[in-house]
Amino acid sequence: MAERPPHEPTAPTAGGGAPAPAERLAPHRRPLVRSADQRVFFGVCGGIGSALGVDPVLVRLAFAVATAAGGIGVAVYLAAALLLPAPPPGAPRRRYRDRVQEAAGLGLLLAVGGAILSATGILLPLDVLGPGGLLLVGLALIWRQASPDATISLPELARADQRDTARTLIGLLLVGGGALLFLRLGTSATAFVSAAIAASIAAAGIGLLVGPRLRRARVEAEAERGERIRTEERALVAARLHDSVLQTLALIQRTSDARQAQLLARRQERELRAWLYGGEQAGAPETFAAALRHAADAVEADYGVGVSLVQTRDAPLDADLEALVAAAREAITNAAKHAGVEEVSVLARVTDGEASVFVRDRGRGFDRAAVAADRRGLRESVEGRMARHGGRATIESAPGEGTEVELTLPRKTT
Amino acid sequence: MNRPLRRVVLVDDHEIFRAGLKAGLGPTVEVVGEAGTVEAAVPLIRSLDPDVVVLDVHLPDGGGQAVVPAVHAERPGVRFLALSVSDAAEDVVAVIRAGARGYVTKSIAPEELLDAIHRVADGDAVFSPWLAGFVLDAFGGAGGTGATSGASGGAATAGSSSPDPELDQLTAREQDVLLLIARGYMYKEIAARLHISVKTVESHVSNVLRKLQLSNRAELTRWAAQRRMI
Repeated sequence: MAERPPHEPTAPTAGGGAPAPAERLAPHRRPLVRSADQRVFFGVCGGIGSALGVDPVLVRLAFAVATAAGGIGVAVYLAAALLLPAPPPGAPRRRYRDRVQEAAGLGLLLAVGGAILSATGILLPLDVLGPGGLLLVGLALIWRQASPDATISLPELARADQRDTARTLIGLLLVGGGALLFLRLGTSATAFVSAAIAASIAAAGIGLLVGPRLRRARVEAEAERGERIRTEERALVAARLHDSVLQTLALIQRTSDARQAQLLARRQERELRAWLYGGEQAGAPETFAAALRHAADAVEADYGVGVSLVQTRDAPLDADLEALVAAAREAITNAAKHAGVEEVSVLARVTDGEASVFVRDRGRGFDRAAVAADRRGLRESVEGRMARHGGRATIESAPGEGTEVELTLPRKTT
Repeated sequence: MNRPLRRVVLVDDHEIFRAGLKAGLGPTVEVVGEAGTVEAAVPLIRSLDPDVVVLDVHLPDGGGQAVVPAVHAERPGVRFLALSVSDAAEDVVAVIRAGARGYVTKSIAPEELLDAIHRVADGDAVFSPWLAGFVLDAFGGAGGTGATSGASGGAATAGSSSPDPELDQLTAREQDVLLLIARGYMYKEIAARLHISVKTVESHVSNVLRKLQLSNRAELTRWAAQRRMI
């Protein structure tokens, strides 16, 4: 093969004589990936050049020489194009228009040169080169598919899946086609055998040179991506904790009032829990339990009184249940404002026939007859509201004995 | 009130929480041992033979329900009080059905926890308001209207073959007691309100606990699986 003259369809790949415009010496070594800003065809020469810190033109020359030696250059170029990781997504790209002319010229040159050479018999016969090329490209496709591609970013995974499948299929087709063609060569294949041996030796050499570097680049990229994802997650959690838990802890440390500290802690606990276990955060609450929880939280925040809420069964919120929640909120507020207690107990029950809320405090209580006149809250917001929705409110209280408000609402559901 | 000294083992995987718990318990409770895992807890409890084990529902190597039966075989006298932050009802019911004598939430006030420990040590049951509300709903009886829903509930579970159908239903009095617990009443207040003695309240609650542990009601599990403590 060595005696074979140069110029092959390969030459375009190598960009042998290509006046690569953006050529500049890479100031320092970079990971081995295909080049985006110095590419003519696939950016292989540019990529190798910047990874090795040499001018891409030199790399292209090397490929041209390899091509001249029986066409190996083309095969290696194509294989490298498939095997090297794509350039990072954000890298500056050489504009398509800038390189299309160059590529077209090179392609033409290669085609004409290849035709002349094979016509004069200097080149390996096309019927050997063709299938050989197919085989190599096919194998490369399959290999590439089989190894994880570090350059695929997460959102692209779904599409990448399809592309991988397509790649494998095409690879298999190419390998199969190449093998078939070889079989048809029959006895005249002896020339190929020597060519194949030389090509394998060259490929093995290149593989030894490039392989470890390539692998390391992949592994590094993989690790980097994993680290990035972890970092992003940690940042998210950290931001959340900082805005909530850390602030509250700071506040609690400065609070000498134990009661105040307790309230802060309770509130933080609720928030954190809602976040951790997926609460009813966004928008208006949609169920009875969520709405009542919301109301209890609001009172707790406004009046600094703990509301211990017990509710087991839930129901979708309708107009009647909304009224029940509003009345309950009023009752809780009343207890928080007037009872002089640190905690109010609330039980909410939903059964098939009715919904009820009990609001109880162990506070100072009151004599209804004596204060009824100025207790508009209870009369209007609680009793009136319940009555309008077909329910009832029972208020039990005595001075010094605490208060319990019982709200009951019939439900029409089966 | 003069209370006897109780020997207690704390089982909780959060050391800070155990420390806080210990600090708040006072002179009538002696913490004789602590453990953070099921694996460590079982042999510890067996060797110490305490009066009460305060048991976190959730442990790194399994639920608290793994501890109870493992100890019960050898030390039937040890009583368990389950406690948790806010967890799936499923797990709470599992611990109770494994044999715990009560359940309280971790946010319980220190004096109430102390109360609960002594109560459990005395062989009584302790229900938090949440557990009381849950049991009421799970057994299907609605406070005052127990007649109808109780009947339908009984029919629905006829196939579940409890050895004793009485186990599948709460009496009206038990429902009254549970409802008051759920509403935030203490035993003393319940007794006053229902005109019964505290001892009677305690025995009602113990009966409910027995039913909760022995009933075959399929609903219990189904209910528990759907519910999260709020």
